[in-house]
Amino acid sequence: MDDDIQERLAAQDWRAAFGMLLERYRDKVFRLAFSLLRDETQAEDMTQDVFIKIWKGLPGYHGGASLSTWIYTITRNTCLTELKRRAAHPTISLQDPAIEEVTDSIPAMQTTDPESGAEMDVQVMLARLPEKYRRVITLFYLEQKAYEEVAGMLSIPLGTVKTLLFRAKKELLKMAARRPVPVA
Amino acid sequence: MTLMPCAEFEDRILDLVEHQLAVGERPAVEAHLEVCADCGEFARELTALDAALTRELDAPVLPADFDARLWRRIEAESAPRPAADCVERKRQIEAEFAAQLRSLRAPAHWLPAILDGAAYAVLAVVAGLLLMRWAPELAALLPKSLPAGGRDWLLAGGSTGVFLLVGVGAAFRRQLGQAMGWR
Repeated sequence: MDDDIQERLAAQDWRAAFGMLLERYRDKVFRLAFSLLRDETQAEDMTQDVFIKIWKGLPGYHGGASLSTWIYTITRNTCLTELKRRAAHPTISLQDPAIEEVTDSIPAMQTTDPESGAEMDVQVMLARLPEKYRRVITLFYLEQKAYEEVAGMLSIPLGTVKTLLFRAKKELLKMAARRPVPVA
Repeated sequence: MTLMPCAEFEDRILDLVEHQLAVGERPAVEAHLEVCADCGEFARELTALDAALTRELDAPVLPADFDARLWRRIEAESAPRPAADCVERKRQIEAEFAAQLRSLRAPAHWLPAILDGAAYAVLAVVAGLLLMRWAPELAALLPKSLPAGGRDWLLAGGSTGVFLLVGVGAAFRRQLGQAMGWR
């Protein structure tokens, strides 16, 4: 898949390899960062940091792991470090009851399904999901429902992606209908 | 009201809604949805949820100047040189280490070592003979105020010192050479 980039790397043409890599992975890295951080501005900053790390690390990349695996690992590690930093210096959280009250009252956060007529506060419900469910379901929809892509980006087995996705949807249905749905 | 889809159909209903169900399995699931109210409702809710998520979860888009800003940062940090230098330095160190290892593993050349040893032995014997030959004269040069026993001790200490110097020189010849800048 990345043979053209690998050829440039083998020729030590770092700039050309990086240019191709940036074009191919820029948006995917951004979406992965967004699914992990839940903040567009921070995701953009992290994407910049990730590509700086990739640029610096290119001469040391020897193809032990596939290029995509290497890039996604750098992305996850960079974002998880940021999340740890955030946890050490907490600001505000959507899980905060006071914040939830405000977001619940914002009309833009609410959407009405045209078929069922059921009102679904999708963003608010997503914010209330357990983190492991929220990451998978967010990335699944951002990546146009590509199971394999999500599995590769989060470095988890395909079966785990399906399981987490199913459980996430059942949780969301439970929230939407405000009635218990058995979670497997 | 509790929604209870049939356990054996749950996974396949999800796959059906996400267009992931194998074509061969669809007729059975679709037929079941027509006769099972709970599964039918479950499928409708999943479809509505899928539509809402597709609508709401728009992929965020990077600003148009993202690449330009990134390249400016890269230029400012002149990133590739340090990394390339590190790799080059690492290669140098590895090569030096390998060369040192080869030299240590190389078969020892015994003849130069034997000649070295013989030369130092001859030197020690000559020094000893000279000491024995000139010992009375050397003793006469010592101050008369010293007692006879003191002179003997001084001579013995002096000769021991000479032999020690010769011995240390033999044992640490290479280190002494390096410290003094000898080749």
